[in-house]
Amino acid sequence: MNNKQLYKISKFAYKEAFLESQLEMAGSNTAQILEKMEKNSNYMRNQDIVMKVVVALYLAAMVILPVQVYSLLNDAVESGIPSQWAIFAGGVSFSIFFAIQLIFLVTFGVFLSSGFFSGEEFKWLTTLPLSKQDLQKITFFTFFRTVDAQFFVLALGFPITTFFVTKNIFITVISLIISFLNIIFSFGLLAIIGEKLHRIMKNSDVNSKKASIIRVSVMVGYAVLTLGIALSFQMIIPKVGPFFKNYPSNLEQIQLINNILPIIPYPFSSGFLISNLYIYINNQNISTIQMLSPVLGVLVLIIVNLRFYRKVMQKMNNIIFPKIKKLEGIENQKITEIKDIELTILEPVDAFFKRDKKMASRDIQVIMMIVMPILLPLIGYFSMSFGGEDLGDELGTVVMVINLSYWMMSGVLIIYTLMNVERSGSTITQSLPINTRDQAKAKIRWLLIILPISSFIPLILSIGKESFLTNLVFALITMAIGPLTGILTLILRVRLFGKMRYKYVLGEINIAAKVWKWVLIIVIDTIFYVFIVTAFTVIMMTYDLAILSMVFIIGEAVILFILLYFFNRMFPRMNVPKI
Amino acid sequence: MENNEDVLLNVEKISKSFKDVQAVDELSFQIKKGEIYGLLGPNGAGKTTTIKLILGLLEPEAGDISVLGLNPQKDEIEIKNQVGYVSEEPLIYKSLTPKELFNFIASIRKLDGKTTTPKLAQYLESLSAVEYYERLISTLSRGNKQKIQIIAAIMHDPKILILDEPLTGLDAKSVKVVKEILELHTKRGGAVLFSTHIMEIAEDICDRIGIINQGKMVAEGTMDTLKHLVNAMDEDMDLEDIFLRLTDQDDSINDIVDKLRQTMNS
Ligand SMILES: Nc1ncnc2c1ncn2[C@@H]1O[C@H](COP(=O)(O)OP(=O)(O)OP(=O)(O)O)[C@@H](O)[C@H]1O
Ligand SMILES: [Mg+2]
Repeated sequence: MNNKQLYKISKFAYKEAFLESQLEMAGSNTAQILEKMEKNSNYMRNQDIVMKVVVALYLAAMVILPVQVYSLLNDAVESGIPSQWAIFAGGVSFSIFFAIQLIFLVTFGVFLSSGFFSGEEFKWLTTLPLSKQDLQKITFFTFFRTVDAQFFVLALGFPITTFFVTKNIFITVISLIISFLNIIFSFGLLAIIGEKLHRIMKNSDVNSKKASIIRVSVMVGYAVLTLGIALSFQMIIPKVGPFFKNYPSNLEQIQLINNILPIIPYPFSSGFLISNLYIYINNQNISTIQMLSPVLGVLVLIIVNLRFYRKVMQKMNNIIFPKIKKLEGIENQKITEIKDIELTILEPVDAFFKRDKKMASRDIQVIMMIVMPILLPLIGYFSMSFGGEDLGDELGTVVMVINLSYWMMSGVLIIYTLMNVERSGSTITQSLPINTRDQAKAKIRWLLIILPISSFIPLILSIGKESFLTNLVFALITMAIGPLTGILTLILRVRLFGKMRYKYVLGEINIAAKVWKWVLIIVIDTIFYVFIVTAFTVIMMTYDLAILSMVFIIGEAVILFILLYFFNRMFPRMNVPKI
Repeated sequence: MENNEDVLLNVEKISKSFKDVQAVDELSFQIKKGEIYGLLGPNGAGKTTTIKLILGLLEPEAGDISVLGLNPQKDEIEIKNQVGYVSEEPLIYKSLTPKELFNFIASIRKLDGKTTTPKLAQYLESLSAVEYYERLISTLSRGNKQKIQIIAAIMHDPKILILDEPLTGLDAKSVKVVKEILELHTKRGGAVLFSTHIMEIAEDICDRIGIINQGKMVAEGTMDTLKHLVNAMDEDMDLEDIFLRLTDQDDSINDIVDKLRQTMNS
């Protein structure tokens, strides 16, 4: 078969890999995704296109950074900033650009890459009469499909920018070569990390503490990266200009750094190669010897790339012919013996909570649900106070409103995610004599654990600052709002989806008009939200914290009372006779 | 009803429809103490729907259900304390291990750890599932998942077992063990509702069989009565044919077989 045909075949394997990655990410949401696919056969394709377009656009938008760096380099040449410093600042900036591109690529591609290494998509291909070489090519093409959009943007974005900004063919050609080398490095790394991640996530030895910790940190790290990367880029852009202009007086050390740093193949060699070249071409003021170290670094990069290439090829081979890998897996698995079997009986509420906790440590969506509420106020705090000064009165109120919004959103998010956890084991829960009150209480426990942490984390950051006391009072009086929003959502969700003739259940029984019901829930939540935030802002602006505290504490007590009334009606106390 | 106390499960003229499909249509049957009752019918006959109605997971539009004298809609919890249920798709928590799952179930059922642990160990051993005890359920094979589900349904010594296609995916040895478990269970005075679409399994395992099609009961009785019925209808027919005929599948199957022959011989 020729390459074109093989490339066509790889499309099917790619679709399968994409589905696999989506399901892996969905975790407890799996059933929902499958439902969506059933309704809309193009769902996966659209999802794929949307994701690619978003990633490609973001990568393309990143060229703002090199555009800026080129113009700063130009300024430096004209305004007489020492060339060693210009080389250093330019080199570091370009390197940051390459590094961010790499991190971005890996973060957004790693699950797809991990799905790819599950090998599921190639299982049936091996049953077809295809030669070993053909299968290898298909594997390669399939991997290429997972990164094609990124490939073109990464390969062409930087050189095109270089061409338009510098109008210099030589630098453009060099930047094209560099882009290409960087791409091979990035994709090699992506493949290797993806394969590692796959092994970690699929590790059968789920009970070892070590494996759990690794898994959870991988997922937390992922959440932090995705949130952080968008912000960090926005933070870096305004810093580049001042960075160029504030150079130290002692430039000898800088020259030394300029000679050593570029030997590090990624990302410095290529970053410094470009900045050296630009300065060299524009004012010839540097020795040719200085060019040597980035060139050396690029050569090392080529060697690293070759090794990566071989390693990735070998891993791809393992996907198609996985015999050895499988055996390794079995050796690592824990084999229980009959004497190890022992039941630990807990109170039902604790049992529900523990089950959710176990599932949380293995499910990216649930992890996100826990991490987001804690992370969002932190990021909010950092991005608002990035100027460095203590926050003023007005700004303080804005931050408080933003945090309040986070907590309320988190309450909704937590309930939504936990309800999905319920779905994934529905046939077991259906068969159990469940007191829905216990089940609902376990969900509320989550709200009561995550949201207060989320309330107090920004507080820790303002220790020692003037605003600490205000923040403390604020945290105390608004702490209940998030959980109350969560309980409201829980009640609405159960009322709309789980009403039966004699009881309410947490599962989804009344699935008609699902979208509209969720719209209704969101609308009611939003009204609640607007009400709270308006009340907060108005009182804060016109009166003071004391009045605010009073109004809020009384208001919260009333809301709590109303919600508890409905809660007790829907989930009555029960004395289950033990037979 | 001759002997009311012996009837553990009574279903009377229940109906349930989904939008345009009449899934269960005035269906009635009884299951007595010590009996394995087979609900036999082709795909889509309404077996799973019937079972979900009995468990109170769905609400019937008409008819009455009594499980151990209780109403599934009102006394759901008491019923579930005394019923074990194996569902047709093993949608058990795939990101838990069997160990975590059994701990969860035992806690919810408020079982006694001391007395249940040896039982659980015994069940796991008999079904050769001990070694998978601490692996993720998602990594288990179809058959091993099914074993976990079966154990989950019997670990609390229920009076009634409701099994929806429980043998799917099991190997020969495990099938034998499950059969043995069912036998012992009925000997203790328990009852079993067993759904299947496979004739031989029903014949092999069940004491009494109800054949249903499009939500209606088309024939009911012990194997002997049904065989008798067969003979009365047509001397040349065996039980398989009668099953196909009763469920309106015989015409189409002849047609299909003819077409298959043509394609595969050419
Ligand atoms: N939730 C539902 N919504 C709509 N239709 C349904 C639903 N559940 C079942 N049905 C329909 O009811 C009918 C009976 O389905 P049921 O699952 O009870 O059949 P079954 O006898 O268990 O079949 P199988 O042997 O395939 O398991 C089918 O036509 C099915 O499509
Ligand atoms: Mg069924």
